[in-house]
Amino acid sequence: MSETMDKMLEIKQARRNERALLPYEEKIALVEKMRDRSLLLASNPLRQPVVMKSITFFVDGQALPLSDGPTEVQTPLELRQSTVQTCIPQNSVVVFVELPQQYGQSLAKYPTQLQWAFESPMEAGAICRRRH
Amino acid sequence: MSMDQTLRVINQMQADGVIGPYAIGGAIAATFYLEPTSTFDLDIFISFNKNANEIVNLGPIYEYLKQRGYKPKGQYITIEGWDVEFLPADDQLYNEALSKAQPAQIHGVNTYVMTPEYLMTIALKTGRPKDFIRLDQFIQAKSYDADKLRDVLARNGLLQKWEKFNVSYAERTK
Repeated sequence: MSETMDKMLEIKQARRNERALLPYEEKIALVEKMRDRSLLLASNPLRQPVVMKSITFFVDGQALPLSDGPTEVQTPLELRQSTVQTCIPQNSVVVFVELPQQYGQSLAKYPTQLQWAFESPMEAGAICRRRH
Repeated sequence: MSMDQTLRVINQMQADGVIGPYAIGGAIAATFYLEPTSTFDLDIFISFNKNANEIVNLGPIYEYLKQRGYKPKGQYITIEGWDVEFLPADDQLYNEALSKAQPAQIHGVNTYVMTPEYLMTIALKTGRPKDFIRLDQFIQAKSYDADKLRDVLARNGLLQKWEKFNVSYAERTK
């Protein structure tokens, strides 16, 4: 470890020790503030997973039921931070589906349609990718 | 949201005979001795008067709280904005931790908090990554009595695990 890093860690530990020595009342007040702030961040709609009541995927006119009950998909925040997806509208969700072998690697040649119902108020357009 | 209302409800539970002696454990108790860290829940360890072959029944606690409008949420029950987990002190270590807990006041409300030596021993026994991080914090802050800790560890058969932890701590921090 470099000398600079050692110094930084030393200062960090000294600060920690200072905070540890604060009166308990003050420390609890800080814990409460941190908790309130975390809850506020967590309540942001971007962090809420989209829950679908039902989902049916149609490929070439054939219905492929994908789940029996409510299904959670990615949160909008995860979606926006995803490295594998590009050009996804911010109000979209991604649904990963497994398709029978007969449909091959690409859905491009099949007319596809997705019907779903959301529990969350989010309006969504669908982008479908095949899971390989 | 302030924790004092939550503790008032818990103290009332004790006064009403729903629970016996209790002590705060987990991250909130650790905050008593360490720098404050963010946490969402409040761990309350409670004693149970039961025979060895009886199963711990938290039903009366949940019933009491539900009657007063508090709702269960997974393993927690939300009391005045805080998710509280009631944990039975159902073995020697937890019983000792409960009996040695020290009185404290949070926003003027009387309560009991586990001592650092017991918090460390429980963390070592539980052994999740976050428990080991807490052990690191205790060691770095030097906020415990080493002799008392060894006594507690020895009584609960955890000395060997402690030595092993110390070796890994020394390797990680050299």
